[in-house]
Amino acid sequence: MLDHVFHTQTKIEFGKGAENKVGEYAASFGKRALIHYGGGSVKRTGLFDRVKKSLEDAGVEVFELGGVVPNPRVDLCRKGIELCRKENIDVVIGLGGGSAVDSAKCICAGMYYDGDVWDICNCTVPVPEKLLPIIAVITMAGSGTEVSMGAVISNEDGSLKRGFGSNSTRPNVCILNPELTYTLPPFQLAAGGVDIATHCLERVLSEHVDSELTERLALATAKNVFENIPRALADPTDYESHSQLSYASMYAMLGWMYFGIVTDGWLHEVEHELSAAYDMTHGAGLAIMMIAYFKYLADKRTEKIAKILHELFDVPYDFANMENTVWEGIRRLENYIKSIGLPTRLSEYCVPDQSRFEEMANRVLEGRNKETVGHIYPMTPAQVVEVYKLAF
Amino acid sequence: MINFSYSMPVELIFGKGGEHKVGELIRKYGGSRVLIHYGGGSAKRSGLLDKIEASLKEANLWYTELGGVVPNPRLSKAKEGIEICRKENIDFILAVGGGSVIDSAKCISIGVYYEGDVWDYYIKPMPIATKGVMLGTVLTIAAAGSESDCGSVMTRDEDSHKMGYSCEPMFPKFSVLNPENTFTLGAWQTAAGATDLIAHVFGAYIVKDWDNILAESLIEEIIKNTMKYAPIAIKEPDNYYARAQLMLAATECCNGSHTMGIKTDGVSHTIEHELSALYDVTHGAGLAVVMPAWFKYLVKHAPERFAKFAHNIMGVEYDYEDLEGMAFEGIARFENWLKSIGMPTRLKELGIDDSRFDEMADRIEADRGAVEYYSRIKPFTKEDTLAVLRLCL
Repeated sequence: MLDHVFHTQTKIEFGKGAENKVGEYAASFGKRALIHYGGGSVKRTGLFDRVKKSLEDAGVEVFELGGVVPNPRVDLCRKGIELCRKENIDVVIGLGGGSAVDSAKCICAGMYYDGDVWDICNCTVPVPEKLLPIIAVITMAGSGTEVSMGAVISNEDGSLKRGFGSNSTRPNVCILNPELTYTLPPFQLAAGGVDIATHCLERVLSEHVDSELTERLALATAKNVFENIPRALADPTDYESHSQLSYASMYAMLGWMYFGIVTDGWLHEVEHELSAAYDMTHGAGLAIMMIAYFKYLADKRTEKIAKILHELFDVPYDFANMENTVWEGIRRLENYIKSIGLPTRLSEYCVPDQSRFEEMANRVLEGRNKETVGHIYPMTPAQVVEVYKLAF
Repeated sequence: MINFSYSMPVELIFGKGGEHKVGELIRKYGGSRVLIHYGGGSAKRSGLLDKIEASLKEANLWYTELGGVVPNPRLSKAKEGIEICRKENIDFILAVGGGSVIDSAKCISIGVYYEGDVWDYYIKPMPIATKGVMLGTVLTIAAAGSESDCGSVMTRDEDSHKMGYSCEPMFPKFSVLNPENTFTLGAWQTAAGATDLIAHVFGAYIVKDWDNILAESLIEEIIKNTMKYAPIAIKEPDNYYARAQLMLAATECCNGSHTMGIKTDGVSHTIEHELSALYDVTHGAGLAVVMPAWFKYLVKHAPERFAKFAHNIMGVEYDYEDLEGMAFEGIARFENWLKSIGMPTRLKELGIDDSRFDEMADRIEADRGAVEYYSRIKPFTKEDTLAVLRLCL
């Protein structure tokens, strides 16, 4: 079992009406807050106004910066940093989905850094120790950024997508009201669910079972997520299933699933290049790549993949030929992904041809100072291309 | 699912050699004058205290010591600690031990800043404590989870009154979790610790409402994993992996990180606290007796819940015609497991008879105002408490 340090300062406020507590929390950090958000949906739903009112009731002056896009861009973060410095902002509230929160994290990380914030994003400099406080008011279940260290930011034209994080980039407060996810389009809800399940499965895809407890918790969570996605899709106002997904999103990234194991990371790193190149929805890209990844590993890491699919889809073990278990499981996984309305092939979603596979595969490693990607089966760019082809 | 607020700000340093970093850690949090608090001397014998002292010296920290904390820690010892802290201007308390030592350290921590009797916090309606001396822990037993929560259970010497209290300042700043530091634990302590941690999570599982199915699945996995690795740790005391699985589970389970959104049931702990207060039994061993009795008593009030327990945790085949039968089969298997790790399952094995049942039930009644969590399946009266106690015979 590997050594591990766990330190999560995030306070979590979970449940109906949780967003009304944002003012109280913000006031504990200061008098001036920036609300950072995306498009107009938080305005249309009235959420923005509720948050603003909560802040004003607590005596906090409100500033706004909207316009965060999916796969958020660094130029808006620069603008945010400038605004925070000029207006002496005390706390940034990331309001919206994962993108708004990631963008808020980037602003807070760059606030006290003299150079260009992109240095932090692409990890040329470490995340500064001192950050502006962050409050995440999350409106979707998926990335787990509401409690995690990580943020993913793209460069100006979106061609490079880079993840960074440290313990100090965890939000100070996470406001999590599952009802806020009711208005998500079904495609986004399903994609977010697959993102959560992937976070769990990437823990299980550790070369050795380094901590059985961690593996058990991760598998149980992934299974629960797969059960609840269809329920939430079937009834967009069902609190039970939505709250389970919100809980799982948070729990998967809170830190308990990191004990004693190495995270595989392959799916996330390889998918990031896809969504950078084709601006696709992260969770949808993950769904496609998960199927292809399992196919590629079917004869290489047979027992591990068999175990995952056995747990998720009750595929009976074929002890005489474990690969049969894997292929039956993959068939069920593909059917499941279709049933929740997500694509199973790159060719049916965003990717017209195979012309950029090599470019993407090379980019996975660009500037990362390593020669392979993934932990359970480290791959060279040439092998990554093979998997992209399987996914096509 | 019900609304909840959660925070677990303790820095957990999990793995080998953590005790060598203690000095550095205390410095990081701004401590300079340290009280090392420990128990009966096993930390001394094992050489752990020496390592810690070396680390403190290396970090140029001033320190003094207070040992002698006993299981079911006494208020008098904590008061001694409070005096030392005041006299020596202690700004950091380092608890080296298990739940008892840590709970005692927490009591000292808030007591230093309170002019009255620190026991007031445990028994009276009071404004919540907002200030305490900083704490850190070096854990030596996987059991209570006190290393990562903000609760403390203390016993008043003169009348064996045992009460709990929790508040934010009692969160340790850090906890050093090195499974190697549990290698010297005997079979009895290991088994009792595993039973304690299982009882903690059962508190969130034996509930009426199906509040958070995911959390329930996690609890099932934690219990199954503990039932698998406790016997291994007992047989092979220096099996790092098994010790690590237990230590991780104990720490994760008791701080609420896997039971968010569930109002937990406190019957087994409440009743056991009376047993250990009056008879000074090992907490985990007392729980091994109370848990099956508590289950048996409640089966008829929540057969589906206990059938789920029997199936998902104890591997009993589903029989929808006879959920209660399933439940009792599951409980029987659980009792057998407890016996297999050397725990008692009846009071007579602890040398206890029914002569003080009434007194215990009365004491629980008297503390009811303070014990806000008691039973979630059905409201408990004195009669219910007595019925569970009788099933312990």
